Amino acid sequence: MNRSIRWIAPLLLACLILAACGPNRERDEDNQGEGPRASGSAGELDASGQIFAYGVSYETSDEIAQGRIDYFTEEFPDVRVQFSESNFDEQQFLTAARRADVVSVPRERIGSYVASGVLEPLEDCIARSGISLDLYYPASVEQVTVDGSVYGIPLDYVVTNWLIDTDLFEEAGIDPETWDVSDWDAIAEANRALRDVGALVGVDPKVSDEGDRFPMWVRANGGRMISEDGRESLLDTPEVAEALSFVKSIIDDYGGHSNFLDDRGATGDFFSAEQFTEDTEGAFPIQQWYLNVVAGSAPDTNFMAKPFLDRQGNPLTMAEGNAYAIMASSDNKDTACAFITATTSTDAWLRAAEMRQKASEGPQTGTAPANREATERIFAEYVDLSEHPELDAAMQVYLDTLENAFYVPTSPAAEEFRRAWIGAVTSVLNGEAEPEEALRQADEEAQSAIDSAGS
Amino acid sequence: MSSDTAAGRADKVSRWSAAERRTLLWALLFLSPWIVGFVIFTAGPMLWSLWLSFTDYNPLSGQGDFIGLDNYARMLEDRRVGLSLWNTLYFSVLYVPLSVTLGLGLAMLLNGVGGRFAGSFRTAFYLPNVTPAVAVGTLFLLILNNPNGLLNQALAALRLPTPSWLNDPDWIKNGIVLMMLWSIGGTVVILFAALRNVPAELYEAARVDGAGPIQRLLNVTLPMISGAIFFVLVINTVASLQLFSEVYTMFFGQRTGASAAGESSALFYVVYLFRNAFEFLRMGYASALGWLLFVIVVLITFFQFRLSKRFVYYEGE
Repeated sequence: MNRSIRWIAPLLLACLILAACGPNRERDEDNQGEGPRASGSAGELDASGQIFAYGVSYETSDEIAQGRIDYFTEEFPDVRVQFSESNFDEQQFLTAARRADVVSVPRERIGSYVASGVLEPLEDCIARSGISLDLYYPASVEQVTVDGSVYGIPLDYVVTNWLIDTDLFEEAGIDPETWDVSDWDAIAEANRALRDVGALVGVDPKVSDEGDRFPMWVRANGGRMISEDGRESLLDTPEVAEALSFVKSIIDDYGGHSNFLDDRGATGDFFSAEQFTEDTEGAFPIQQWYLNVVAGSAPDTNFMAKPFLDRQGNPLTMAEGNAYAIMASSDNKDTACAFITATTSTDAWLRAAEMRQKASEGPQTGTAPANREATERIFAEYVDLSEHPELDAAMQVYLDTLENAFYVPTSPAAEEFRRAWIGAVTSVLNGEAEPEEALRQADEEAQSAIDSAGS
Repeated sequence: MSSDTAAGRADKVSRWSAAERRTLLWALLFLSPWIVGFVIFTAGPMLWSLWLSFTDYNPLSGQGDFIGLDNYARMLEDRRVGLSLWNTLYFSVLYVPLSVTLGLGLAMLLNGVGGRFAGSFRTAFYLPNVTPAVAVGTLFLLILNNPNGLLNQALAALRLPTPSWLNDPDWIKNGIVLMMLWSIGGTVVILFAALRNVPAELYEAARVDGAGPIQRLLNVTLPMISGAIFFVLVINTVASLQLFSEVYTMFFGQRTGASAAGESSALFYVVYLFRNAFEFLRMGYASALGWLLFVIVVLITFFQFRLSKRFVYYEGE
């Protein structure tokens, strides 16, 4: 119990020392394999020497990252890249930022780092490398565009749709094909009906885990969390309050948030798809990476995907993912530019897909590049789910919605904004506050944070 | 300080013999590792954070402007300061008396254990204290889980209510108190050492005078170890006000196993301070929060010392 704040300073120093001598791995010309070659990806760049990529893993990563990086090191054999071998972490980034050349950052948070002045605008990089941003999904590019300047090259592109346990739905007397997810009353009725037939969780709106999918419910209701330019919080609006009231009503059907969480905790191992194999959970919206979980643990279980819809019945999904950015303090920006453009190129992604195909023993559901051309070619050339029709159909639902994605605009106080609305959602779900009051308070806090961070 | 007094002290130092001056130098030399460490790791950062508390310093850009008392004024409007202070004080009020009482009970039990197993028991009680805080937090995510956690399974077996320790805002802080009580080995060891120092003849005299076990506890044991009790009271109070690692691991870390239900109930003061410094990049504001906590700790400790004059017995005073 004697661990106290006075240990933080020496702890930080120790972390610095460990970071300096610790888990970083270098990747140089010892690459193997033969992948497709890019043509002219270096453009006018003079790429050489060494760079440090923070938030990027090689040794400790899967074949997707390794394939893309192998491609880069083949294209630029004289470049040495050092990796942090970690995901992006705000605290670690504070110490790593001063020596990093490249950072992989969640797109939603990029605005905070732009406001801090640590990221380099990429217009020069984009022009000299010869890449076209048209290659990337528009939502991913717009999310990294701040005041007209692009600050990141989108890496991955993850969207969300409904996954449904068809056995449970049939048992509850609901046809999953015709279940209308644009009708919120139908969602609430399905939740109750599924629980009546023994599902621990009928419908999980996925708003309990740090808010998670809440922006989708807001958007489905015609609202927005924040203005397009990220400067105005829109949390205190009727559309947001109505969305919050609705998801709370779903949670209240369980007798409160804690009961819901306890029930959900008992649905089984999420990463073994036990909610489907054990028929413990009816439906929930989730990103497409979860199809890989299903493919790996229960590829022939009975389930289906449905597009998430707004209340008018239009497909609607939320785009998320990381972007590669260049640190303004980098003294090797040409090489950093070569790295972020080459590793997100179509050829790099194809190389990764090829490696995954070789490594995969069971069905594989592809990758999720923000590069549109790469996505189309990977699913045309490398992904074959013909022996697993349910997985194949589900994957197709996700692919069909890639162009219907919105994004939560980044802001100068991205993390404070996120914490403000998560706090409001959680307090309402916990029954500690009414939606309007909680959102008004969150809106004030968020706007204050944005104003002070952006000034 | 008057010039007479200063001159007197200077005169006194100058009257030191060469041997005394040499002793002083040696003493300073031996103390120097601590002095250097104190200046670099405690006094220096404290002064730096005091300066930062008057700025809007951004740790990422390394830039900040002087903004006077704005950070302190902001605290008055920030409802999370009040919320986190409330959570922290709630925890302290529950934890500190329980840790001292339970620690004393365990120390008395240990004191009664003799033979070759005595050492093993002492080690067992202290073992949780050498467990890393992150491991403790992770462990208690499993123990406090509802309905599959060890604690609730035991409670269910006894047909007792099974609270949702990790998800119910009314129970989250109580669960954290339980978790921290698991690590009271330090308190137990200190009180156990104090108990061993109570002269046996005092108990014999009390017994001869007809005192029962309760009277001996109240009139002999507690007065004789009141210094140690006061010490653990102060230390545990300060530590409880600075609770961070376990709670952050459980409810706020990147790979937390708990839901966001603890977003408000488990928002302890130092967690909020940490978030401002390292997540919101508001190091100036976080420094101001740190100084508010410092003032609160000093005030509470001062109050405890004032009270101690009435309740604490020091041999030789």
